[in-house]
Amino acid sequence: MKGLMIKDLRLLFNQKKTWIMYVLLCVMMGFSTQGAFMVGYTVMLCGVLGISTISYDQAENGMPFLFTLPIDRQGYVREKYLLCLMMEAAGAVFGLTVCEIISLIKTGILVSMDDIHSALIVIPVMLCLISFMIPINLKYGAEKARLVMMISYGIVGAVVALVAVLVQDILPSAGHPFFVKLKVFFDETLGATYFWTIPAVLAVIALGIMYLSYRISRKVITEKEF
Amino acid sequence: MVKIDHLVKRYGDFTLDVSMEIPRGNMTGLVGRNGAGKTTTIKALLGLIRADGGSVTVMGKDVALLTPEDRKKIGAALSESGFSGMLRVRDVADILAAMYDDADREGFLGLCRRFGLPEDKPVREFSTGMKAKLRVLTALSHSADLLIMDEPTAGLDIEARNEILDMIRDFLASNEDCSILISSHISSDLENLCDDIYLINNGRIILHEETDRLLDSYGVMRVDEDTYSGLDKQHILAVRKENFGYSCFADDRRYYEENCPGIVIQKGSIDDLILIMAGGELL
Repeated sequence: MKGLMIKDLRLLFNQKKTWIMYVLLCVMMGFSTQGAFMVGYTVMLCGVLGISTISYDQAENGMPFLFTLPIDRQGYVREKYLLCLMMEAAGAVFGLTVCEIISLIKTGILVSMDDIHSALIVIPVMLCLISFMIPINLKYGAEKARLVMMISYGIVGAVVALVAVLVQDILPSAGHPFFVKLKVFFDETLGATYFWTIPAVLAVIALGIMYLSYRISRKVITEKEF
Repeated sequence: MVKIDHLVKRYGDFTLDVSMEIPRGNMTGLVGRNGAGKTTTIKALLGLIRADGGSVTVMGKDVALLTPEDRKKIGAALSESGFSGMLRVRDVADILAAMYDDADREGFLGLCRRFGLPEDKPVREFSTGMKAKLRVLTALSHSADLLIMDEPTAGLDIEARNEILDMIRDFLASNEDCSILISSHISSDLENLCDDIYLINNGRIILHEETDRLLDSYGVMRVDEDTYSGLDKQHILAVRKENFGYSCFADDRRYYEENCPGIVIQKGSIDDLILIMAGGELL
């Protein structure tokens, strides 16, 4: 595990120019957006960078050699999930820190609790996306995985947008009392009463999905031939 | 150290079915033409593919049950697979030091310098020969009990090939108990190194012999059609049709020297073995 982690961290941090570009991009985004919007971006970016180490392993037919080293296939999968979790945590800390600094520069005050709350809701969502991406990358390789992910994100995005519009606008406008109550529940009761509970519950759900994804990845890598 | 018992692997029309054994301290060569099944055998031996039948035992254990701790005793160099090209030699040294208890980081870096591998350059910028040297040095970086090398000199010029063979000889000098399996289609690589040779063709082992006996006792006769038709064939293993007649590969050179004085019979080489036995007709 230690050797694999060193390999992946070196793979990531050997690309100094890419990191400088990403940091500059984050700072620019921090200045041009409101609140803690950027945190979702940095969390996703760091997670994707963690996943990119799978592509580096697969490039130039590297996987057969990798599995001649003193590691087992389950250990390889464990290390990838640990790396992605670490990267996402680092992305969250970095994003929040940059947001706070930029907010202080722009307005003289720290980012509001509402904005941090929004960021904390985004992090579990990003964890779910990463959980979806890892087994696909392991099974199909980076090239095919990119295509599968673009299609999947399109479908998920469209479904989420449709449900949100239905629940928030179309159905309550139709006047049915159940949907009016549902809208009030989402807008007021849920937000006010369970302000901090929501991100916590989402985090638990995201970790559950990640564990399921981990089990699937283990199966994928165990069945794979190199 | 290694026992392969009727290992079967099927890929479409191709079926591999091999048995072989590598005793402790033995250096075994696996030769054959491209596509004969050398790499498939080695992949099965390393647990990279699942067998459709038979068994592969490494260090007394089924290969599927080898733990990371067991794998620390194995060094492998594959023909077209290594560490990511994004890494540098010093990264590889650190990774190996973290993975193997007995890895000698400074020794590895010293050997890399000796063989002209820069520490700070990404591996993707290396030449084919440099990448091959790094793959072999990586396999030799710890005191392995079993070394498995698939075509370690493929695609290299004579100078780079000799350097790689020297690395292996140096390693052998200080690790006498190490068992080695080395596959190649370049005969000179194996003639001076291996204790015994397996010849694989179309997924089957068609010959297993000690290298010394192969080079001393085996022979090749090149005869016209009339001579061939009257030739005593009891020691001929395979023949290959040529423009002039036939090339015959025999397992007892002296028998023909004594009994067929008019025929020129030369000492056998591994090239002849591959050309006639794998490319000709077995008798």
